[in-house]
Amino acid sequence: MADVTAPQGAEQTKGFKVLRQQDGLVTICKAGKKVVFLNHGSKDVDFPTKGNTVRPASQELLKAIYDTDESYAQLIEAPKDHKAPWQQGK
Amino acid sequence: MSVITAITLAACPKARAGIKTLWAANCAQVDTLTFNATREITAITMVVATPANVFKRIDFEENTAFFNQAKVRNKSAVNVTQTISFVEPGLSNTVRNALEDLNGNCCLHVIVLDNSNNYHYAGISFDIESEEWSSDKMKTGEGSSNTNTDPTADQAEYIETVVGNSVFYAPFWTLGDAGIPV
Repeated sequence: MADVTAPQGAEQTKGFKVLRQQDGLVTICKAGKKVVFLNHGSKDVDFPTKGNTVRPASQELLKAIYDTDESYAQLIEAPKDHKAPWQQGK
Repeated sequence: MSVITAITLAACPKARAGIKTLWAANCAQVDTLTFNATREITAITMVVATPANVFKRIDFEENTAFFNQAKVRNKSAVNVTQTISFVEPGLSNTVRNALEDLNGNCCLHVIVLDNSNNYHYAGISFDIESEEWSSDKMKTGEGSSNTNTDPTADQAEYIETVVGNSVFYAPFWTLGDAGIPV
């Protein structure tokens, strides 16, 4: 029986992981056209830019970053069955 | 590498001289730079254990600053000397101390916004074959603090330079102002 509590598309946002998992590292990159902060650790990081607290990355954020640009495959590993927009036709 | 890429002139290229703004950080704060297939920087990973040390914005007098990249060939090798020069108008304790702090760094990364809205990432070398980068130990160079002489024609000012040697021209930064960790 399907889990009706799971948000739509939740199946597609499982299995992404940061390649370098380490507290105290934050990557500034893009998710779509937006600049985002990617926390590599498991604890909140007080990042000084505009007083931001950067929480550990969610699956949705990891997927959004991964899908934005091929170079982000150097930062994030996607599940084997995931195909990013930049992989279409490859 | 033996690739030649065609260069096609744009009808009206953005080519305004000068630079608008600088941001500088100590190399130790930058853990990783991520490059895309077109050799631009698409992400920066910062060490934030000491959050006070991120990129610091350096403002200067309008139309006084430049970013020069002088290329020379030494037999089979290429070297590019990157020089950033800027003028701080007026002599003050605040600017003096900020320049002293900048001079205390022996390895800098500097993001330069030019007057054509290009962002250049100076102070690193990127090897396109291994796809690895390294810091160039860019640091401050010559400078001056000068009262000058003629109140009708001159001003009192600091001149500062930042200099480094790289394997080629600085790569472009794609994250814009919003992506600079300040």
